[in-house]
Amino acid sequence: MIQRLCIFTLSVFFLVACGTKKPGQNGNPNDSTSIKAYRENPDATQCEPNWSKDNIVVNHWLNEPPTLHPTNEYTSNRNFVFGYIHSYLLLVDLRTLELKPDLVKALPTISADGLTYDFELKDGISWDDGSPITSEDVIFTYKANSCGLINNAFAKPYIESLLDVKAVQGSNTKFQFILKEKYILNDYLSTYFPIMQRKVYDPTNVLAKYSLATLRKVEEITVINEMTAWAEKMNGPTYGIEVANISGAGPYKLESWEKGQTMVLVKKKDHWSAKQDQSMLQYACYPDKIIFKMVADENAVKIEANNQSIDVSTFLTTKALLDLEKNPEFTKNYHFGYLPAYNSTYLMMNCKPDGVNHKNFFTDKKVRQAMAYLTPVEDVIKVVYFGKADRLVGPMHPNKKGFNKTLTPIPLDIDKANALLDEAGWKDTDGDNIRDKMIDGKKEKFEFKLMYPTDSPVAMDIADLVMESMKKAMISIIPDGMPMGELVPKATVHDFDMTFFAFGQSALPDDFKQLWGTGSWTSNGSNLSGFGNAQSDALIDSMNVELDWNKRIPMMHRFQKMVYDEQPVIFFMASNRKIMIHKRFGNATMYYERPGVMLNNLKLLCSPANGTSNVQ
Amino acid sequence: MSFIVKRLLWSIPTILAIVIVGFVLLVYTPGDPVKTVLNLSDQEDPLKPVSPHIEKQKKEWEDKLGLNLPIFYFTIQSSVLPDTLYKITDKKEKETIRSLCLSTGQTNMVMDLRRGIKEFKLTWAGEVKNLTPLEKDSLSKEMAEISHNIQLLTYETNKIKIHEYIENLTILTHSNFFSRSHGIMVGMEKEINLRSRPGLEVFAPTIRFNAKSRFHQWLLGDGKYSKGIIRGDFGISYVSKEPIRNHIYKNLFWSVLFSGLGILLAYLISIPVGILSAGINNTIVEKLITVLLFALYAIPVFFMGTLLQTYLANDQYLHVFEPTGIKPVRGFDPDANLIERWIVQLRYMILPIVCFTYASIAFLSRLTKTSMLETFNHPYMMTAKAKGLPYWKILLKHSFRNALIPLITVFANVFPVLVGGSVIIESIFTIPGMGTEMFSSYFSDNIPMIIGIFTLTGIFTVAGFLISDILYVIVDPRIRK
Repeated sequence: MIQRLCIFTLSVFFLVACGTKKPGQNGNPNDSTSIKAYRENPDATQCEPNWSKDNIVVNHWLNEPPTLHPTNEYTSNRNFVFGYIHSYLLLVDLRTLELKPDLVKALPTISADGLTYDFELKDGISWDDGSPITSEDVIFTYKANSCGLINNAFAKPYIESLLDVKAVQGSNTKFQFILKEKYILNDYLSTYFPIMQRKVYDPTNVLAKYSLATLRKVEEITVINEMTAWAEKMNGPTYGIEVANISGAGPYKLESWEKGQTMVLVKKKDHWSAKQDQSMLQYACYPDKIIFKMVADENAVKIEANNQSIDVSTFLTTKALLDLEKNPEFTKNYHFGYLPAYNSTYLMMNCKPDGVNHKNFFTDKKVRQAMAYLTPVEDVIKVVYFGKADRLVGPMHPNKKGFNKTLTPIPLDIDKANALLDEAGWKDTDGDNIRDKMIDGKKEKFEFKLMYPTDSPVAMDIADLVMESMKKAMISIIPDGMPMGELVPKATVHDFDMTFFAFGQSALPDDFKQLWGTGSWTSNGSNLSGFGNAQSDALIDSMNVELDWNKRIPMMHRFQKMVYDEQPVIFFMASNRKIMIHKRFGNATMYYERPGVMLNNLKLLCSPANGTSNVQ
Repeated sequence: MSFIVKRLLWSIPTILAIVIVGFVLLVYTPGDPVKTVLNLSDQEDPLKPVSPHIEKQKKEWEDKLGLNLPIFYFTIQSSVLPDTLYKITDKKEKETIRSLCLSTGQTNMVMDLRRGIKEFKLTWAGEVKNLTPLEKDSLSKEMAEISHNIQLLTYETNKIKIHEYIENLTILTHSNFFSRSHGIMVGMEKEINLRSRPGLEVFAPTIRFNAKSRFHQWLLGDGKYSKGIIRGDFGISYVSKEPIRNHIYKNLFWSVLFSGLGILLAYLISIPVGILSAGINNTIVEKLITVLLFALYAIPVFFMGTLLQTYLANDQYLHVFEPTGIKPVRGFDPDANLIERWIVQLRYMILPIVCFTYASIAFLSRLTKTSMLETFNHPYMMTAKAKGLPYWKILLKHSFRNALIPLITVFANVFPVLVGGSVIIESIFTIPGMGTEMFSSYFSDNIPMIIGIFTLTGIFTVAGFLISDILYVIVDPRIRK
């Protein structure tokens, strides 16, 4: 349950997402709902003389992760590095967002009850010291992450569904996951935790003595000296800060890290991935080095792009890229694009107010629909986001598998809104230009507070546009700006009439429970609006245990239609990801999902030896 | 020598005061250190029981950070406050208990109330968990109100409202689904009877001496987790879990280098400019210099930094310097020697140093000029002129030496700048100095880092004043008396 409630937040941290089943077993790879989640850029036909010939990719980032700890670091920036230095059991193909095996031979075989996952490690995969990656390393990884003494509280709820991980007798490559319950996101366990070399992180093999269940019992293991000693070292800075101790099974290794400046990854020689299927994005490695360069100042980033001293950025602001586009030198040197990204901004309406502090404005479906007709979403996208955002129409991102394409955006239509409000009984009976209605024998004006975060540079602009539009339908809005730190707690205890709210998401299949399940409302979770009833909850529960996409998609369509009809929130937009890649590199594909660009795939087009073009 | 020793001795209580202020800030800064260290969300569901392993980890960190110790060597508090109040690490909870105890004087009853609330939360969460979706739907309104009321009750300090919330909860839980929770509330309704005014016992103080305290652990260490700031241990970074001193030492070098060079340059330029301005006072050239310096002084540093970057480090205009960083991103040429490397590095350093320098030039040169002009009317200047000494010799030997005092006073303020760096300049030019460290620590609630920098800055300020005092004596030996 905790896992399910938290999965939405977790999605921000994912390197890759999961959720599809083994093709041919539970899903259909050729199904028409398969999506394309990338944009290709044609390779340059000739090299410009001022293009660098170094086979080194310099990637810009705004801020670095505080540590690179394999279990305890939780910031999303860690994934920009982990993807190159670590390996996982499974990965997502960023082109199709389908699951692919990484360290294992194939996607797991799932038992009929959906509770046992059987894996087998690939042949010929090894650590940097030449020793093979075995199921012992996998078991250690999952035990370490489950251990109650490890400071990864943020990850604990997600691994709680794993009851046990055990090697298949007589094999050091086969192992099993035993899970608590059948669930669409169980696969995530194989994509989130980088596999760690047992010999490095637990040289005396302490964890092998205890079962996964015992390691979770803090009271029992706290009194064991060898366990506390191991945990103390593991939690310390050794494995998160010290370059020599940061290692993984990925194709690159950390060479240096100058805090606040650069992080340098160098390609490993004779890495096992070179002998694997090169159509896997993670295995096709071309640059000799990948350098992460930190530049926080927006103007400085633009100058670095003008100087061609950064090759890739996925952290540009819309304004910065629009400015850069005006420079012909920039367009000559860089591929750039505004790509869909998995995030969402909503205007939440309190559908279950207490009736005392917050009046029953939005308990009537017609009123909520009228609000949607009164919200100038297109104007907001055009004016505030310079047209670089995708409109949302329902609870799913349009570029996700299972999106209901029959749902259409609700247009700005003040007449229709007026008609709906009249039908709902909200009329201006006293001529003060504000609608009113008798509720419980008392005349209530249609005047409510709109909460917005003052620390967002665009929220005030959006609020202005919304207020202006609502005024035309004789609805009065009192703007109520406050810092995000104040807004979130108020929103989660349903202390609002209407509020802005934005969520970071990923390509992970949606578990609608957190945002739309009634349990998430009663427990002050992310269902801020109060949407839901027994029917919607039952549908969510059914979707969450249905591993067959062919059966699940119709349910998803039904659910989206249900939310769309109810309009518990005004669906705004998903802002675009801004990406630039230097044209001196081929394979310059841009992806909708983080990290946006696979730096290891970038292939130098101009020969480093003599500066002549390799371009055919 | 005795003057220096005396000054050194005086600086000890000042440093101690700085350390105490730093400690007070550390203790009273809002936020939960344990949650920050363990990467736990602030938005925890108050009705959801915390899992045992998180609870255990919390306890461990409370122990490491000394949060479960009394704050100082002795505690003076009202006798109605519980002896173990300091052990409650949740600041909001602690404040609620303190306020209720002081306003009612009923310590036991207040603690009964807290226990009742805790028990109710656990019980109700269990009962909610057992509901079917259909039951949840039918009870959603009541559940929302229960949730709302219990949250209000948890931190309420107004007696009338507390009774009101208990009454509400008793009514709201009056259903078969929440019978156990209802029982707890009925019990509380009978037992909790908070007085509206406290008795005189509130004013009776209790004094307790504590062998172990947070201050002691912070200052001298606990022999287990920390060595104390007296040994240069400012604690552990909440973010990287690394000792704070490691961060400080790494960043201090760049801040001292950039701001040190900037300040040195500012003095080297502004003193001759000041002397020149005094020498040619009221001439057109002097007036032009003044206008130029004031114009520079008026430009905000972020604007100057951006301007310099845009026009002097940009392929679009002139690319003489590098816009960000402290050295080439691809590293130095492996064949380059140390001098060649320094020359390359200069391209990265000049613009930030200019930013550190330019604003001080106007101020310092003006100060030099004014101080020198003041000396012009003194009798010794008249004597020097009467002796027929050359004008520039009079200026440099007689006037400048006596005009140095204000410059030395300003020099004392240089030291904190050296340690603190500049958030704006370091951010614009991506310099890994103390300014950026302070900035990122602020956003990541890395309080020990902020307090560490604060304490160090304070100590350096004291050192600056000490050096100033010594310089005063060198410039004007009469000051010793």
